[in-house]
Amino acid sequence: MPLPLIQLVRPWLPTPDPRTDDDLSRDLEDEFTFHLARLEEELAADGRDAAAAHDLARRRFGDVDSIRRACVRIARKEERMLQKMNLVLMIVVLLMLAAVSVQMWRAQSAQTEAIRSLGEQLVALRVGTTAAPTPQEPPGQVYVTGAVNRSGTHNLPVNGRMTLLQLLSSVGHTQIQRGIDDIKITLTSGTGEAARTRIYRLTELKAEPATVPFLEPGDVVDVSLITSNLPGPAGSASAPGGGSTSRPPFRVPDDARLVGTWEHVADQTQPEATRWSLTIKSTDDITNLSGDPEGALAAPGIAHPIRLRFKTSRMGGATTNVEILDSFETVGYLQHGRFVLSHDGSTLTLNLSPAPGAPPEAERLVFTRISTEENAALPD
Amino acid sequence: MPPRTARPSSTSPELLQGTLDMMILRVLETGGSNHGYGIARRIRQMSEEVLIVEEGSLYPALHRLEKRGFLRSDWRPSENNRRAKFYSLTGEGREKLRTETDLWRDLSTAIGRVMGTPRERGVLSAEC
Repeated sequence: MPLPLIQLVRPWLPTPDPRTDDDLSRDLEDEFTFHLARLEEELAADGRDAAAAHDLARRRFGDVDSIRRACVRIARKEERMLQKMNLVLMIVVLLMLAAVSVQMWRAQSAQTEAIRSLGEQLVALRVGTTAAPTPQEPPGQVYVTGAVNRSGTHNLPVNGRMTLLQLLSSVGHTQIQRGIDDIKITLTSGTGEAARTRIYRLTELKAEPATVPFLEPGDVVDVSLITSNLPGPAGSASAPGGGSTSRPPFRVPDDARLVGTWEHVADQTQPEATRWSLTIKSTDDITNLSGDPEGALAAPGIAHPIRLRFKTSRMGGATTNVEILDSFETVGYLQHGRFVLSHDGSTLTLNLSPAPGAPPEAERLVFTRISTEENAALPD
Repeated sequence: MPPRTARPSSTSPELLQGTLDMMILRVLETGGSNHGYGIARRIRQMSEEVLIVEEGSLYPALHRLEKRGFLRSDWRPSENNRRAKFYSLTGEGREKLRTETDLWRDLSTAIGRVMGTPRERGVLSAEC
């Protein structure tokens, strides 16, 4: 039997008997024959006849075959051991080969599967049938009612940021045109006691994009039209094709009240900031504002008055609108302001935002109405 | 099979197998190379006909000692001019014999102390 593996380690193993089985049997036969012959001679020398000496010698020697087998086992002991080692090594090698084959098969299967999957994806890409990405859940919804083309529920975009103007563009609102002075937008956030309502005008939002609020999930937006036939004093309606020249110059009404209650209002676009709000109420029809009136704010203990300059302008040819221009020139701690005219025109609200580092005295600001003459003296 | 003794005994096979190897080495050391028949005869003579080595034990022992390198063998004519296999002692065999002899002496001395002299055994028997 060939022993290829054993050959590698044979130098470190005991040397088996080099004799063939025939040579070994012959040697044992010769050795035993010699022994028996000498034993027969010894017994014959003791006076036994040849036959008796022969029989007695064989009986005394014992079972020749069993002795021969014992000697052969000893002579072939190393060879048998080597054969067993060879068998064990072969089994170990076969097991290792099997394990390696299994590993290779598994790796090849995984690679085949990966290639197949890649191929499927490529085919899907080529025919344009790739699975659509899983749509992400919208962060929330807002609700639109009133004078829009598509009222109802609308999802906020995935990034959650949508301004009020973007929403109006999306739902389609009525354009400002003849007979429609402006569009009133009522934004209600929160529910119950936490509910807060803010009113905007489309023209104001477009004039000052920085003031356009971002929507929050759950906001309710109501859109209504402000038409030219709003209730008001006679002569307040704008004439067809009217312009600013057809309106009387602005004057601060004698009974105008400056409600100097500064209040902090959370700013949706800048949650960390606060905003001051001051409301000017008048019994007069302040929708007739025109020209370039200016107001001034004075603060006790502050050397320079706060000048407030505002003017009216006409938009759409028939609508009187109020907006702030170049709001505060001389005081650094008022950052910007904005007028909000109420729907019925009876209230003019001025929103002021404080600049960083505004002193506490700013909260005690009061309005001082100035005369037309003083207005005229103010520099542009 | 262990060596036969002329008197019946109950000695253990392990003890006698090692003893047979030791006696074979001793015979070859004292008498030089010899064949199987000569070794068996020599053991019997040296033991004054007490130990009779059976061939069923002798030849496996000779082949085992040769395989282990304690003996070497060669075929050559015997004293009566017959072809015979002669065994002789190797260097390793001499070293093995020295070790085994020391162990045997220690063991036999210890056993002798336990067993005592015949006179002492008679006294012990009388006391019992």
